[in-house]
Amino acid sequence: MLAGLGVLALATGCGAAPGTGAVTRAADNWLAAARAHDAATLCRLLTPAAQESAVTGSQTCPQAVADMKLPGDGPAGHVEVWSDRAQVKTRADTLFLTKVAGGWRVSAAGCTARQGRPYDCEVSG
Amino acid sequence: MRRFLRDNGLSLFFGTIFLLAVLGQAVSGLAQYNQQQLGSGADPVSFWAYVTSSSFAVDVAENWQSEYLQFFLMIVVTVWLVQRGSTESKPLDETGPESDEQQKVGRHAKADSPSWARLGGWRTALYSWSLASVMGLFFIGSLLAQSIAGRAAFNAEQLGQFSDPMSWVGYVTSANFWNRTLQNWQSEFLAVCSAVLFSIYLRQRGSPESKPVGAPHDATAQEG
Repeated sequence: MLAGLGVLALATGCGAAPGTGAVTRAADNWLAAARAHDAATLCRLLTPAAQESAVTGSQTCPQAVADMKLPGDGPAGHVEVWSDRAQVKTRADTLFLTKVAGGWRVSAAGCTARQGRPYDCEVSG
Repeated sequence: MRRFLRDNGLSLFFGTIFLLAVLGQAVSGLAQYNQQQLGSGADPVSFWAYVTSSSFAVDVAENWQSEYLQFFLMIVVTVWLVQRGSTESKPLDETGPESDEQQKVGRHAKADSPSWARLGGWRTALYSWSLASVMGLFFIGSLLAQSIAGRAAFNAEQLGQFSDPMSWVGYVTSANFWNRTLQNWQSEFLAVCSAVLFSIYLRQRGSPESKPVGAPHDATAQEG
């Protein structure tokens, strides 16, 4: 019984290894779209919650995203995957991703670290 | 079959309600987990995905480690510490590991004693501590499982809140780990302390956890 729990803990605990390839591809797609200033693609790569939080008033998502400072300097660097959440460090940004039905999507981007507090992000949701 | 059920009633009863409770924990935990998933913009997960998740594993392990710690401490501490009038204590003048004759080991072993009690040497020494050792190992194993699964669950939450994940060392020295751990420990220690003290003055007719109803309050190590 205890051995089962140990195996379960190891299987669930070593979450940084599996799924990093898909996360890296999603991050690279995001960075490429950011370099190309392709706001429509950036919106498509956001989670539904992040898309919702990006828009204000009568703006569309691409209009809102076009005004944001979203660094595209790549490639994707250090990747952490824990359950259905991931973080990717790039040269000029820290991306947060969430696994949704369509695969990995960006839940926060344009993020700046703050001591002892969550990252301050251009878009998050 | 009837005899098997009677002879193993205690283990069958507690084994059954354990499995039912774990199932109930899984069902209610899944509902709560999926509420949180939807609230944070993630997709709900299946039953199987939940019971193999770090979130479920840490909730199970944190309770297991505290239970095994409780039994480990109770087994070891009662070798040396006594409580006048308690059924959880041995007689007041028998503190310590006791003589070989009292423990029926080595040349004092009986015909029906376990073979490792008779053999002497390291095997008798190891067997003499086997109950506490296994409880202690289960405690350490559960605590380790809690730390690994807890870190994974905590890091998923951290990323969901757009914060950095933690290393294992960072997690086992974090407030999250110790809050989970100590809230379980305090309840176990209270339960043991209650059992030790309540058994001095209160009775349950027919239970081996209680003295006979008519036994005096200061009678120690008596079982009904």
